[in-house]
Amino acid sequence: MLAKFEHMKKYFGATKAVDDISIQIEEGEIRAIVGENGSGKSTLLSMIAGILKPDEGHMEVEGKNYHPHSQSDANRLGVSMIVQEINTLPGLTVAENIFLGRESEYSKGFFRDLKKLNQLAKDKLETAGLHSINPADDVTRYSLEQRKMIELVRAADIAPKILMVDETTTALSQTGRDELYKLMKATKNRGNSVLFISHDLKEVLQISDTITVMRDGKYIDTVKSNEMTEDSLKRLMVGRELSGHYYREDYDTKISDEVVLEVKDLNCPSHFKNVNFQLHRGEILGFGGLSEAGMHEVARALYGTEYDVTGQILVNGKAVHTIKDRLDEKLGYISKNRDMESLFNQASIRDNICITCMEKLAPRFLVTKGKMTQFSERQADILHVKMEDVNQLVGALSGGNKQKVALSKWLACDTKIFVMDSPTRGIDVGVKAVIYNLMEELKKQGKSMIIVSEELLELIGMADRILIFKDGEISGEIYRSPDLSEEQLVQEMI
Amino acid sequence: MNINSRKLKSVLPFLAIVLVFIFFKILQPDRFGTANSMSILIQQALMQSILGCGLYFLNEMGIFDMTLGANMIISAMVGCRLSEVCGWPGLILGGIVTGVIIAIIGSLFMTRLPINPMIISVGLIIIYEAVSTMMTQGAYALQVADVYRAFGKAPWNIIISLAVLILSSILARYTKFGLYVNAIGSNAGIAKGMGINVLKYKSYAFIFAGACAGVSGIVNICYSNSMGAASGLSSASTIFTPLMACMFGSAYKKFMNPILALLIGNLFMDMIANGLLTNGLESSLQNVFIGIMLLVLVHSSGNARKYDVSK
Repeated sequence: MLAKFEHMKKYFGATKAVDDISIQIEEGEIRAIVGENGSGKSTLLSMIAGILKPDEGHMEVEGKNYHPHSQSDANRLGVSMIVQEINTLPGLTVAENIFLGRESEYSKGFFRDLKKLNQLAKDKLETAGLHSINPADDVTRYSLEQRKMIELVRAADIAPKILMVDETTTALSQTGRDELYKLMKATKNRGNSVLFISHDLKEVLQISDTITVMRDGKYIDTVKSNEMTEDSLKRLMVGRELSGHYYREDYDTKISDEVVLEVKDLNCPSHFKNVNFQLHRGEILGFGGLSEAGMHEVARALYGTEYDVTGQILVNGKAVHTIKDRLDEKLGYISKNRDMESLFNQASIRDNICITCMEKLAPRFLVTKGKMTQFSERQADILHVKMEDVNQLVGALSGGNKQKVALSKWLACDTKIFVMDSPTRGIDVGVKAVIYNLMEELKKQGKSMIIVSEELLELIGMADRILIFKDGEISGEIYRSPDLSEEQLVQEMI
Repeated sequence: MNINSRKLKSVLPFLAIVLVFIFFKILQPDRFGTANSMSILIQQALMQSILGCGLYFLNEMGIFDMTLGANMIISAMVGCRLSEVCGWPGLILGGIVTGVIIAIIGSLFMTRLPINPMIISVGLIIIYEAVSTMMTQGAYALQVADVYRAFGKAPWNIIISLAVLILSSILARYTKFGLYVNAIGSNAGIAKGMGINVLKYKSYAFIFAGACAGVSGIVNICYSNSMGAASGLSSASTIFTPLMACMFGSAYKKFMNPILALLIGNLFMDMIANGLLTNGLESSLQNVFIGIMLLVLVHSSGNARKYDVSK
């Protein structure tokens, strides 16, 4: 046995995030930890990684007491973690991020040897196949995926006894995922272990040896991956039968001829070019492609947050220039970068939900806290946000519940056109089902949606039409069909 | 951003200095840019940069400490008083140690009390200014003996300022301290997770800022022969020019050593102020012009940010 974590407990106020969990990890084991959003998986791993201090519990690694004071302390003791959100520091170079907390490895006494630092980082980046990343560049010059890869390089460099991966794969393209799997397998082959959180059950079954299931902060079971199917795993996670068909099942729905959004000759140097399309009333339009194909930037441009864009965007026939114009036309945007661009993590759920609706809530300038609370409670109830109350800070919610708040914010102000970038990124099957049901409901109400997604099954399952992006241009258009397969989409994308 | 654009941005501050010089030289060939006036301008910029260096590390960590001006005044006064008893060591050690002690007091209040640092700053400034008034014992200002004035004149003021600037440059770029200051300013939560003792490094930054305030106080009292008591929060205004230079340093740190950019920022503002003065512009309009120029230059450095795209 490599490690054991016994009677682990962590409470946030009245919420029992982790409630008396005990697990043991064997040498050379890849252990997946699954459960719905809010089941306590990330909290458990955060305690093991030294990010959170357990309220109670005992931890041992290789038979020795293990109680890290910080992430860096955990690294020193052979435990490292790659977290779901971006964990690199803007303003520091790539090399400084890789070696942060380990300055002695390249310093001469009191002084940092920058030449040595950059050379060491360059070697490590090249070993990981990241030839295009310059170690001396500010880390913000790179995309989220590249920054995630930089974190992988940092984690690999420590050669940990226990590597923990918290829902990282959704932020990565296939190449990135392959690198991550390589790192996990190398860790296993050294006789060390991996703890792995993912909502992609197919991936969980493929990669892991064993699976621990958690629900509402409690331990449910540990099972062998080769004895499980996706459906049996879902049952364990949710505690009830889930329909296997959480995508849409209709194929012949007539789409309205009414155009609600029209994009003409949209260009943005180095991101996308000559983008033209129309979105109809009640239509779900998918954007598919590789991560760098330009689809995320087009989504940002539709909402007005991408710069140097030329071309025309017409919403309900009117040209829109500013974000205010879009809001006036009831267009809302849910960013892929949930924590940085969609939500105010340090504000309450109430404030996050009400912020888009202040004109409705305060038509005569003044609004009471009670009115905002009532309004936000109603909205949070619609999507069943798991929370103490609406005063809770959004930053304390799990990924899926944060996404519910992000959606509630736009639903509350009667949005008619939704631009959703990766709406189910890092979200469990239960919340996914809620979001897909919501999309269907919105469609029935005549609302239109653009879904940008790297999950092909999601596009196939939900979209009426899919625009394929390649090298910043629309390279194909595919209509909804029961015969549509992932292979067909991949062929168009590559 | 391509390499050419990066190079252009790294020479932009130097270019701005040259252009400002040429511009005012053409307007006032006899009054602006003489060897004597440029020597004074450079000395002023260097001396202001001492306080700027102290402010820089605090500013980078998101700490806005307005007490540094009052700290400088009290440090100069304590140094002055001690010089009467202990001579040179009293002036130098008295000034620097006082600066550090005052900074530690500020650090304790600002890093450990759950009160808005701005409110703490205002409270402490009121106390420090009262102390400065008490130290003058009814006089308008404290005067330092003539024997010590060499510290405020070339070459000593230049040597001392350069020493502080070089030390700060090294700290900012080549030490763990400079790296951790950036990391904490970027995201204190992640920095803490990486094992960086945030409180410790904030305290170090306060101590360094206090030492700079002490040195700045010594050089300033020796330069002008006296140090007046402050009241009505007037001491806070002494940090505005160095603070603007700090922001200039932060804005250009991607392209050059931030301390060098800070010095250029000070020189730039002093040159414009002097150029406008030689052209007969009143001081309030001078400030408007300086503010606009600073915004233009800082904005030009920040254009790269808009290409940062989250994918």
